[in-house]
Amino acid sequence: MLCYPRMPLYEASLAWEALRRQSLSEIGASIDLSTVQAQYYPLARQRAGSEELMGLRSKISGIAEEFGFPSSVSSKNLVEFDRSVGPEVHAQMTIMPADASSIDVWNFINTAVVPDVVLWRYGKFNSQGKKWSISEDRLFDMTRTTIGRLWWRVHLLGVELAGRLGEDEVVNLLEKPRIGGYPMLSRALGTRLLTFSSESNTTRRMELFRDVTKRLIRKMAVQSVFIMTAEQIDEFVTSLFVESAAALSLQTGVPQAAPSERDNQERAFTTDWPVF
Amino acid sequence: MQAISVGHLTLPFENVSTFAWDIAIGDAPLADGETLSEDWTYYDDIYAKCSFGLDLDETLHRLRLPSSALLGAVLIARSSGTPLIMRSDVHNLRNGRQQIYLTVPGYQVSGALSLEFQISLLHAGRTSESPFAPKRLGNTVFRIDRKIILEGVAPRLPMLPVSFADHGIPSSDNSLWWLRLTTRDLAASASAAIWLWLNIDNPSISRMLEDSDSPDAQAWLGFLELDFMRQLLREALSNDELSLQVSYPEESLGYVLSSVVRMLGLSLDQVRQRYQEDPGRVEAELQAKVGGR
Repeated sequence: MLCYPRMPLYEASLAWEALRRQSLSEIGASIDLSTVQAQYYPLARQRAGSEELMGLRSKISGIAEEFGFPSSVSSKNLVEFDRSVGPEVHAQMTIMPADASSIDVWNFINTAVVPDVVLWRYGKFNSQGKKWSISEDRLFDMTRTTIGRLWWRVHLLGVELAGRLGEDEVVNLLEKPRIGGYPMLSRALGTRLLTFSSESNTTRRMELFRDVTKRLIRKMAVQSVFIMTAEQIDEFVTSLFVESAAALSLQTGVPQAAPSERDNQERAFTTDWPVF
Repeated sequence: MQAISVGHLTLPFENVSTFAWDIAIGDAPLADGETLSEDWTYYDDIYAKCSFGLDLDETLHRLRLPSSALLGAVLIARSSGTPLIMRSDVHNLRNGRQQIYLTVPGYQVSGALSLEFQISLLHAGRTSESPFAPKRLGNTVFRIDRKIILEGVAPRLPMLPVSFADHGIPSSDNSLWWLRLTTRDLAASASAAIWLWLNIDNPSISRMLEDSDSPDAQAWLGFLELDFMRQLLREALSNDELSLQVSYPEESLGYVLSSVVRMLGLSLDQVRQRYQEDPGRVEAELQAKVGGR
């Protein structure tokens, strides 16, 4: 597996000040990946060099062109671009996850390899100021960075789920370190959300998902998901969806089990206690 | 200090006798109690072994569980650098001395590695003997952790030189900095949630960025740190969901905010009350803590 070049935040930020003042064609023409003058992980045994970086640029910009780059396109097209490019980037980079955890690596990819595609994806050209505006999140934030976030979501959720979940849903899952990093749990949550959506046809999918993740975090304080099998995690997650849907008055399509004798005992026990 | 109840009985440390960690980084064993692994690289896997003795009958009795109940042990690895969480196979507890293993691939982790050993309920058995007995799958009755510093973990605040004019702030050249919280979700990663933007339209900030070692720049940086902590304190006190009793992950917003409140050495409610009565005094106390570091 490879380690990629890095660009410190400050250096990347200054580079973007200049990039914002150029057209996409000017930026594209100025990219030179024939020599790489950048720092790497100091003890890297295999480094991604010019060949890998040019191959990556060619792959990403090729997919972007399929979706209309450099022309302005609909947001639907841009979302489809994300879905197509994520698995390709993940497969092509063969980057070490430890290296992919460095925001400086993604700063380099955004700033030196595909800045024109990044601006096409998230930038907005202000014709009066003759300058691109783009949210800093899409450049420098580990959970939202344009290319890096697509790599991580495929790595953690798998190709299929990463392609089917919405942007906000993925962010809600992956920006919570205790949930997103445990693939058995995050994949169960994502899969259950998709199943629920197809069964209930609700427009409050994101509201439900936020409620579920809040309940999950509370329960994880006293219940370990790490002791559970994949099937048990599925059941646990399903019960959270049922609870949240009931709290939000939504239909889940999941039949509610009759309370067991133990549940009845617990409920009776709970109600016996005085409230302090 | 207020204790937090997990709602069921747990095991004291003495109940899991002769508990011991054996850690090796690549081929090199890590001494007992040692936390720093100076020679770790992405290519060195981490091998963890927990050995412990257990009197299973006594353990079940202590937890008020029937003899048909099942407990399991698991080792969990989290790293501060990558979001990946790994775990060992689940080991069904039996009587006597036993061991549990986990190999953490070096290329999957970075920063600090937290290893957590847990004993949790796998099956509650047929009849529970007490309302205080753990009942639900995964109820954790024992946990102990160990931290290993693999590489530098000093938190990096995302400080960004940004033109405030581009963000629509009128007369932006007078602005200095902007502490921007992208979310108030306490479980969110702190480095994603907290951004400190430095205004490159401001001449003093521009000079500070150009020569951060100058006396002027040092004075600005000192002031910046104080103001940054003050704003974090304000955020902590206004966040209704923050609790000092919750153990937030180290890399989370909740951990950072609760750490700021803890600097004042009091409970959250007390600090809130005092801040309401005399915010200036509380901020001065915070300055004394931050400035004295």
